[in-house]
Amino acid sequence: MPRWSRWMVRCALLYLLLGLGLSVATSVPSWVRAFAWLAAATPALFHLLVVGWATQLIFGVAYWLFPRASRPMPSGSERWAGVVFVSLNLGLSVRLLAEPMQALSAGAVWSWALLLSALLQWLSGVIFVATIWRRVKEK
Amino acid sequence: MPRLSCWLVRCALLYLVAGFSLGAWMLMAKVLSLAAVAGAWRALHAEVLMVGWLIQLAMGVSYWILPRLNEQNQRGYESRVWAAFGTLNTGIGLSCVALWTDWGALLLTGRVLEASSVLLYASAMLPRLRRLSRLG
Repeated sequence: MPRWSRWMVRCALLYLLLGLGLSVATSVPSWVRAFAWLAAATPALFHLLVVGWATQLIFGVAYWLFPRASRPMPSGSERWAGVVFVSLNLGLSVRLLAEPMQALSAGAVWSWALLLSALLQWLSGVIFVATIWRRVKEK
Repeated sequence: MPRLSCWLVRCALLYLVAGFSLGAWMLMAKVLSLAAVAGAWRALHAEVLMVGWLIQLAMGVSYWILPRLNEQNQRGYESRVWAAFGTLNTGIGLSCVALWTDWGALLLTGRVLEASSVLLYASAMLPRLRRLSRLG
């Protein structure tokens, strides 16, 4: 299994744990009342599971499992796989922090952080598709 | 990877780009107050990523990777899975238009097509799983 695939699967598992843990926390009304951040984090929480867990697991497994790119580099460019890993996880982590903070405090810094998060997550998707596209081929 | 899986996976990848672009736009619109993020945007985003990306990718990869139908290494029921591919993408297209225009009857048609596609696909894949359970 390529190095970045292993990292993607590990992080996906962490997001699964975090996402499920937070969804338990948001279902306890007294906790939601006590921590306003929890209520404001609902959209980010959903994305932890869909992007951080499901999509990242798919990215990791696809880099490992899809037909090889070439004989010298069977799983394609390691550098681009690393960029996908970093931008997806950085984008999602920033969102997890910035989305509730922006809803609660409306500070400019959180707005900029959210914009950065949008750009990073979008980049990760586009680069993943660009790098995996030519490996989707008939045998 | 068989040709049919290539088509399913490539379409799923296109939906991934579309869904991520829509998501990034919604997040930016929220911050910059470019436009109100209406429910239709969210529903479109979910439709494209859940059905177009996740379900379609799962169909493409499982058609490729699940055990073959027989000793001749055939996957079988190819025309049925092609029909599922066409039905699924027509269903997604109709559902997206319906969500955007708030057209209830069209949304129902789209959803029925999506569900039919999954039934077609499942009916083609179950014999392969039965063979797997026979082999132990």
